[in-house]
Amino acid sequence: MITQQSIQSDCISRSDFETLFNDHYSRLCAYAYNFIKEQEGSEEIVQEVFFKLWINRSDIKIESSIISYLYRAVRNASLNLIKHINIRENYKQHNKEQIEQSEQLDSDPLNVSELEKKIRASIDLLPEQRKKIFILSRYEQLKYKEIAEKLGISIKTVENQMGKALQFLRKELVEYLPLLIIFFNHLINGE
Amino acid sequence: MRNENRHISDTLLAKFLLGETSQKEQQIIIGWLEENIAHRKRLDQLEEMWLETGKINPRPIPVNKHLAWKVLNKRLDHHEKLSSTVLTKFSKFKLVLYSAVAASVLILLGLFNWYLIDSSQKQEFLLTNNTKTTLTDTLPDGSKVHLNQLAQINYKPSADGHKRVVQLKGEAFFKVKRDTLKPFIIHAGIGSVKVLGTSFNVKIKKNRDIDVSVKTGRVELFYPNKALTDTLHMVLRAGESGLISLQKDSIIKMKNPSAFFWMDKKLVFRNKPLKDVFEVLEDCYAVKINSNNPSINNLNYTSTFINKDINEVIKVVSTSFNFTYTSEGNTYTILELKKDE
Repeated sequence: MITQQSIQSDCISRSDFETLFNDHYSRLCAYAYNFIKEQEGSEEIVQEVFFKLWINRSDIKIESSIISYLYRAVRNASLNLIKHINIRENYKQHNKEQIEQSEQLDSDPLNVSELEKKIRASIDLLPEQRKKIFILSRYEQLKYKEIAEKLGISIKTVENQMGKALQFLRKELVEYLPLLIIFFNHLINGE
Repeated sequence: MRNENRHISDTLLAKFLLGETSQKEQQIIIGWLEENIAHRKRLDQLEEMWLETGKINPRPIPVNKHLAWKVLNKRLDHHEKLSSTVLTKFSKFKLVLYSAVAASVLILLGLFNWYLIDSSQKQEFLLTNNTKTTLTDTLPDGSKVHLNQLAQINYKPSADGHKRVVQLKGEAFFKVKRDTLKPFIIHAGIGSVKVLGTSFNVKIKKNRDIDVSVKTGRVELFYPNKALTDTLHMVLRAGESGLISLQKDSIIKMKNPSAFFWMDKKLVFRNKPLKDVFEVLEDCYAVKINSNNPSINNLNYTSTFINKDINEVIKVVSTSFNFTYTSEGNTYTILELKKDE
């Protein structure tokens, strides 16, 4: 775990930095995406924040934790981008809502449960195509048919990939899910 | 649990959960669920997992963090290599600025290793305009470029072949051949311009500010600001102009009605106050325009000039308002006739 002290002294190693990057990259991208609604741009922002953090590691004054520094930097860069782009009209209102929403979210963006961490890490582990399909289904609420059209693949492939994704995530997450209790309820109620 | 997989796969259960099953499939699953409490448990787990994954916020996007780390790692290597050689030559400020420019350029373009690769693999194209007129040529990718006097470009595809990269000095008009897979990027000193296929003008001014005007299509401007906190970004569409300003440390949207004048010798004024008209003319023809009555500055003017010299233009403007004018060298004075005369 990288602490405030270690990032400020010059002795943080590249591999510690890699760990920090791996632990937070996906979620920071998702955080940026919340504001700017564009994946490529989100990744650019997060890359840039990490890049600056590394090259300025001896100069940057980090007042709270390194994690909240990252989130604040990503948010500032995202908002700055929005200010400078004429975002397509239909996104404007949406963005406004998103910013309001994420400001609430931002009140404690770092308070993440173990389960949530595990879910994110598990989604990250999915192969690229499967991850894409899962995210389109789960978070964009697209039907199989729509996903197939969007990605230019067959519905059968979407079905199979979703099956594998859900199977994998169930196995990954099973011990974190509070299902045992429900299972006992079934027994007690004689269902 | 493995045994059950033989009968009902997670693929079918996933379809069931997401409402993608046919009626027949639904019947099969309902029957299967009633067979055994363990079946129920398996579906419950799957459903629970589905519900839990939906709760996370911000919602994930499909990024590839291993690839992303590779990109960043290379950039960091490049940066460190760069700073160790440059450090001795430049002041810290310059270094910071340089790395900022390098940083934005690299992150946006993923060009981090262009310098490493043998240049013989790439078709490079260098063009300098030492003539007194506009120079027109075609780049290896088929894009057209017009160079203003003293302008210079150096065109080079990136090492990975995914980008077309131009280093620009001075002023040039580009008509970029569309290739959505290979963005066309212009590095213009303090900032950069990225396009896919469009026509636009880029001018690096004496104070290093970058003036960009778009004729067709869409271009993006990038500028890493001095505080090193952000890379600013702006999209311009046809008819729009933007200025990457060192002094303002930002990108500003502005009007530039004469951006293409040096190329097409065409001026269009639509309901423009004379003050602005005069400014444009001063800029395009390198003249000075005065008037004997400042109030005429607010009169609006509409007209189009193609291939006209400054005398003709001044004459037409004056005549349309019933003014006269005098000229002395490069200075024109517009005279408003007194009403009682």
